[in-house]
Amino acid sequence: MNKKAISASFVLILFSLGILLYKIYVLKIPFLPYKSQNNWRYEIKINKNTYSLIENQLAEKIYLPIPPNLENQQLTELKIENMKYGTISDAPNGKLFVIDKETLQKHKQFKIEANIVISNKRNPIKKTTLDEESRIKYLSLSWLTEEELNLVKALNNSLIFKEDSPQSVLDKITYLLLDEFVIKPEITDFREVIEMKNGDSLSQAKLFMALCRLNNIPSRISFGTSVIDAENEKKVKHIRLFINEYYVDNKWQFFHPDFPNIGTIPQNFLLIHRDITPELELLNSRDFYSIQVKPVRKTFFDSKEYFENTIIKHDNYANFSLYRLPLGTQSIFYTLLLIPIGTLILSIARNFVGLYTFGVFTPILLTLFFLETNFLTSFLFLLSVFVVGIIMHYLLNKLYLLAVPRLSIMLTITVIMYVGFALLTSIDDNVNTSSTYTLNYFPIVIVSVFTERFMILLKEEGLRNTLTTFIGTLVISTLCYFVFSINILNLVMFNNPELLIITIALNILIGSYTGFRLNEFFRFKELLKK
Amino acid sequence: MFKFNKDILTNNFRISQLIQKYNQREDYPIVDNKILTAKKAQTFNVPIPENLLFIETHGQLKPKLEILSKLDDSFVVKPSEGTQGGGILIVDKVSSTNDSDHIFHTTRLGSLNIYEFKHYLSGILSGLYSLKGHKDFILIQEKISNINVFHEISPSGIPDIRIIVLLGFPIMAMIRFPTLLSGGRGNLHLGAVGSGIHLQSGKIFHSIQNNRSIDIHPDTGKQLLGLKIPLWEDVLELAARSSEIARIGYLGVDIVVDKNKGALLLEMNARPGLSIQLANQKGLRGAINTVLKKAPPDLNYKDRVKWSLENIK
Ligand SMILES: Nc1ncnc2c1ncn2[C@@H]1O[C@H](COP(=O)(O)OP(=O)(O)O)[C@@H](O)[C@H]1O
Ligand SMILES: [Mg+2]
Repeated sequence: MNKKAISASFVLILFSLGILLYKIYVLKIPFLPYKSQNNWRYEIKINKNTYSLIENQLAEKIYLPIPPNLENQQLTELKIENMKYGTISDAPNGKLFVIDKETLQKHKQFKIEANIVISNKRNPIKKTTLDEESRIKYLSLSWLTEEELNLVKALNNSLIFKEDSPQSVLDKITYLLLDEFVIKPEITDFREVIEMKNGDSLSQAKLFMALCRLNNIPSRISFGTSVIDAENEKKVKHIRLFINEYYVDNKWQFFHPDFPNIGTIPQNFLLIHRDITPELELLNSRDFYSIQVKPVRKTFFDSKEYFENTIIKHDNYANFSLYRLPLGTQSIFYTLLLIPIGTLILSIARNFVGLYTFGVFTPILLTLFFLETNFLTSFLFLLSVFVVGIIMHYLLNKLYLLAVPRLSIMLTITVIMYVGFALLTSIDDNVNTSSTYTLNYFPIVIVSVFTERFMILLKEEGLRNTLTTFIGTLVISTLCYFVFSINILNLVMFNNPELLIITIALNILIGSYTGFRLNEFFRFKELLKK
Repeated sequence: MFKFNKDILTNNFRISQLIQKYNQREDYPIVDNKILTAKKAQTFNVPIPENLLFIETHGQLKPKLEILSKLDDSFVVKPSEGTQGGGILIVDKVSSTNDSDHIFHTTRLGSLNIYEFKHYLSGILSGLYSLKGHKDFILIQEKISNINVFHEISPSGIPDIRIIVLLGFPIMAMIRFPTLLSGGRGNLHLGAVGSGIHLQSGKIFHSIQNNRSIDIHPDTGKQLLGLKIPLWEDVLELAARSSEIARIGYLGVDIVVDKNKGALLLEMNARPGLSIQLANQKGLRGAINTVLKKAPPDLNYKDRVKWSLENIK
């Protein structure tokens, strides 16, 4: 290895570490930003079998709730299928998409999809005022039948004394529900619920609400779902929850037996609608609605807030910070900044291992393709393009075509295959409802580059070399895919782009390595033995 | 184990320390393109197989075919930018039929009528065998007549001698005998035999096929070990001279020995492979270091050969 290269890379490494250390110790900008938010995709739709319910079982109006914007949840995107057939009612407690019974029976597909950013910070609950009208509404017990009301009163008398302060009233109600209430989803008759202190989650919330209201504490039931924050995991459990809110000390506070943090906003909780009135109780029915919540971006932190709280304090540095970029652009750079790491992997694979790939950047492009779409399907797609390409190669050889028309044919076939794949992979989506289906140019561009490269190689170097090169390409792009999927790496590079200089330094070192490649150990095995 | 390794020329070293430092990009076409090589070689008085004609466009096909069909001798069709024997067609004889049609007799593709032959040529022009896949030219070359010694060893094709020349100094040599397995081609990875040649004596001292050591030619059973290459001095001097026609400091020179004309430059390679080390059972680094450190500048080709023979052991 030559000295010039070593010292050049040494200088670069020092330079980049210098910036890094200066940032961490002098500017006090942390190596990694805290993460505080998660991006979720919420979906609610009316189930198919609902339509087969006999007419008089359906309510006059059916509601699909749209999650409200709250301190720790932000709606970023909203899509409503067949929106023109319903109306949106803008209630203060959350929007509702309202559909008439008849419309529902005619246009059977209704679905709401929304992107929601949920922050997991323990925000203190803000004070709000409650006007007289709302106060009366949240104290009303008119939803109980006479008999139910008497039962609740009896329960209340056995529990609460006149001299109890509001706080101890709440404590008592809370403990009653925590200690004695047993969840039995099959019990929904409210009389039974009060007497036995058994029932489903909605009845439990109703009991809490009834007791609160009886003691002059405004109270309501909110509906939501718990999202268990499973980083990187595609499957996330979500449970429908009816959660109580009560108004004390000028604050709406939350209560639910499953959330230990009484008095704060529940964590990992998506609030879908506030104040469940009897007509919304249908949300409880799994037969009627299906609700899905999926994580969209694995870890995400509030980059705007991070910029404002941490970075902007340092005028000079802030000018260079990537956090200044618009959010959409930022998310592109999460991936773009990893490309140098991919090329670093490629350099290592070429010069230390002896792995060959189609062109230098094709493997990286393929990685982006994998990231953009689904890994398994795009992998299979590539494999099939490869196989078809080889067959086409032999067929086209018989025709003695010129190079460009030859490639055009192959690219046309690639496009046709892509269409086929798009159809195949969306088979379980309902085709006629796919107004929301968005197709990107990006994957087909990448696959075309790949196809061109590989057809040329096939022609120049034959099947054997092409096959090894193909395998090399797949190995690299798969490896890069998994490396690129490491969240923490995304964050590290985005937060500390100066590390890119280190990759240059490493490339200088790799580039000046003149020793053996792994494959040469096998090639010169005989010679080495001597 | 590491001690032995130091003598082997690795791909990384070859690229960064030899090709990038001593090979001029602008001169690559001179070695990559056989027509350019031939033209350059003529101006430098370097002997090459005689080129009968060049075909550069589809339009020239018809008139040039007429000339070809009147040839008495056998000839060879080559794509100007082909590699590894791709597209090379040896025409042993052209005969004419009663209705004044012409038949081209080849070993590889059998007998071709004039349309089939024309189609073959037009495939080459379209770049079917070109390095980069773009349009290519055709070279029609006299067929080399194999010298008897070599013909007895490998009747399936003409062997060529590969010499690595560094800054004009020959540093390592091997001869490649085609085999039936390699389809008459001289490529080691196709199964041709590669034999290391002792620089000073011109004798074969080691042979391999498919990376395994052998002593005899697998097709004919003829002894290879100890065989002396005819006209060895001429071959070395031709290699040293050839390196002057392009500024390619690290060069592979391919030489054939013709029965009548002696040593001829067949083609050159700006990225010579590493497999010569396997045929020689010896690494190249030692010789490379010797040349880079000690070789005197400004010698003529004869003196360079002399210097190599004295200094490279
Ligand atoms: N003029 C010729 N006469 C006979 N055989 C030839 C002739 N030219 C080439 N060959 C055979 O074809 C092989 C390849 O030729 P070469 O010019 O080296 O082309 P390539 O660049 O494809 O290797 C040679 O090793 C030799 O065996
Ligand atoms: Mg050759």
